[in-house]
Amino acid sequence: METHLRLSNVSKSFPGVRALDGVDLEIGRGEVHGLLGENGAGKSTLVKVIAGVYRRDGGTLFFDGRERDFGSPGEASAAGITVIHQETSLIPTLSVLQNIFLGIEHKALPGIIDERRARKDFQSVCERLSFYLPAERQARDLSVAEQKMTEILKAMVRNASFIIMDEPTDALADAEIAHLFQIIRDLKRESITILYITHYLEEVFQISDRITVLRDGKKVGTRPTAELDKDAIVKMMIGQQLAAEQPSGPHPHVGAEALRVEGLSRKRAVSDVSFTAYQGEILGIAGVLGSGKTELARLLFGADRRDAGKIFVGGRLCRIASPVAAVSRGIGMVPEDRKKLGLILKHEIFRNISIAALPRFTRCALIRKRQELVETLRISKQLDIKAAGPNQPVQDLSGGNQQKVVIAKWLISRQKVLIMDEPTRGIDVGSKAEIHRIMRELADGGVCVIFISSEVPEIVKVSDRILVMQKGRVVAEYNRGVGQEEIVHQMLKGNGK
Amino acid sequence: MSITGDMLQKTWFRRGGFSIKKYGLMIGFLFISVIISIITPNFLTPTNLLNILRQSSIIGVMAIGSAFVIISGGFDISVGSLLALTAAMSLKLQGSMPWYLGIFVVLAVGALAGFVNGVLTAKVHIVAIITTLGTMSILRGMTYLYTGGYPVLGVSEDFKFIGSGHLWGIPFPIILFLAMILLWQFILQRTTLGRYVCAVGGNKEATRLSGVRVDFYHIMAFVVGGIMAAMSGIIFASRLNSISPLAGQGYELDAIASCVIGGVSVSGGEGSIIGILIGVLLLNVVSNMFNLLGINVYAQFIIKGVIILTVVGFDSYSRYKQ
Repeated sequence: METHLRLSNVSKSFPGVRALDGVDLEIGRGEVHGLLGENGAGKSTLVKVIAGVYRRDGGTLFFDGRERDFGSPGEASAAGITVIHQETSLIPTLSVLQNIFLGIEHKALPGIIDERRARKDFQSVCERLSFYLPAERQARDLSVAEQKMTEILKAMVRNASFIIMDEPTDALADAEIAHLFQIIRDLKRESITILYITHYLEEVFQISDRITVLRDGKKVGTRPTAELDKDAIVKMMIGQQLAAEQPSGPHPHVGAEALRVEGLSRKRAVSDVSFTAYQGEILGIAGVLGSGKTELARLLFGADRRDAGKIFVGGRLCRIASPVAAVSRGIGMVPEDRKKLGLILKHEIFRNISIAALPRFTRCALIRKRQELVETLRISKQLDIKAAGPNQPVQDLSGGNQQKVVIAKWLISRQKVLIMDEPTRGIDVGSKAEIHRIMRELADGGVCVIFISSEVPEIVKVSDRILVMQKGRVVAEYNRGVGQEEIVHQMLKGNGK
Repeated sequence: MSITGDMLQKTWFRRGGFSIKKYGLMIGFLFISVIISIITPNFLTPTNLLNILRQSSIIGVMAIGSAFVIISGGFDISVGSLLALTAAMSLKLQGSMPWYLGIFVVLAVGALAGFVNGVLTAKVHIVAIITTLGTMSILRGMTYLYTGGYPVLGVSEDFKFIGSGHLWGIPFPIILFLAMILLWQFILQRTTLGRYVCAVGGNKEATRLSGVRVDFYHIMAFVVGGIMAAMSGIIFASRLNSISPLAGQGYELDAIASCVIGGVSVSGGEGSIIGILIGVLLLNVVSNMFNLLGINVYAQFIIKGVIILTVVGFDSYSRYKQ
């Protein structure tokens, strides 16, 4: 097989993180190549290096037999590399046809678009790939599968020869997945190369020729799919050495029921979830992206409306219809996107920390500022927030310190249940360990911590009990001491039957 | 470095968060206007200075309310029309009730108009500028209906005190304006209302997820905007004692300009009320200067526009550069 893309010894670092470490990769023309790895293994960095979004720090990249150095996504795209992202990149108000030819419209006269020629080209590409798509329909009225098809067509009219698909099936129903796989086979017949990134093992077995597994920025190996089975892949993904990192010692003292949920549902995202969480425990919730963890967190906190289900706080049924209600019942949430949802970036540290507890520092609607500052300083010290002072805007802080500010907000307001959604995402290793320590201290102090993460190692390391979510449902429950493999298996099961 | 106790002291004294960077341009403008005012004859006379302050007080009071709205992340262009309606009411109501009761009714009308603006933006989710574009037209129409299209005259002599009276030798509107500056600066900085209004403008979703009743504070900011517009309407009516239904056109723009020049961030979440004092004075100093120098009145509109664009342009471009 002719080599289409070859990387050798490619590295990429970010401050404090070595995202790619000497990766070699060879992909043949017309091959469907699966790329696997846990969150943070370096998959998306690798894709961005190939697609010209990031510049690599070292190593070489050969594409179509020539050494290349893409300085921008535009250059990579001109060479024939296209990325189809999880989220659609179509303009919702434009038609399928307009989207496909966006930026490369045929011109009848300068400034006048030649629609007829566009339609003819569209027809011929559709026939070649045996696609059927309504050319005039607005992109926002398409199904997710049709959107993917439109994006593939968009790549095809730009003469793409190498298509990277990043989690293409996340929002697809089973029938649509089957359709997508058919499309991939058609593309393969046209000698189009596909780099296929997914969480779901079944999918790569169905569609890929070879599989590459990344772990901690390094390549673990590339093997023909036929030689692998699931266990082998899971072993490659998580490695062998991590068993020692699990919590040891007796199960901590677990107190009274803190939060109980029965039959919680919302649309397709969360269906019929029931569980109980206790004071003094860290309840881990694991699952891949799109498994409904974040949606569950938001339902528990009243940030979204639930379609069905009951929430009991401290044994009492509560109508939690808004974050206001949740906070008054003693529930706090560290949201997954701290910058957009957790912080007011241009405000000072102290204002961010005290916002949820302001009534405590208030007498007759007047803020007692001295008390507010004393308390925020005490909490900042306790969490070791590194800053020039409480008046520093949080936008100037590092990611780890920003996250501590979000946690401080709930510490100071003394919540009994704290939901933490991906609290360590995008922060350095040191801060990550500190946040794990803070979580344990909170639990030891009687708080019920609900810890949501898609990183299995930290879930296993920190949690006392683990629920695994998949496609909006809780599919398994484990006590501490469970192996990572078991959890990864549960997380990756299903999809793409 | 970790946050330590001795920083508490520093923080305690540095309440306002006043920074040269933020207000540099404003200080520069003041500096220039001081220089020019020295070379301008008749500028530095007590009468002229008090005159400038008194002229500033109507827009200034209105701008306090606009600042609350802008800080909360909104925009209110209906306040000019609201000024006309409330000014006409405060004169016409004198025929049916004592003037001081009329004032309460008028302030309540202002609060109601603000409440409607707030509900339409926070609950119905119409973009603030479009909401207030609609209510601007509605309020102007109500003013015409209420006055029948003719100027309204006041009858009470006591009422005139608000706009034309003196207290301790100082025109009363100035005292009222300065008192309002202090009051609302205090409310912005030291009360939950002020704190939450800032937070809503800074990041509404993050504030909601902190358990704050964001819609309530969003609406309250508009209510403050309405009340302060009504108060400026009262001063205006009392000053002229005769209100045409056309009154107050374009005042909303001057009020917004005063806020922006005074350091209120157009993107919300930041700003002070004290800054408005400087912003509104700056606008009036410049036009006063041109009047004294005998420069064409029409040119003043152009100058005003240039000032606004310079200040906001400087702020926006440096933000973009970051």
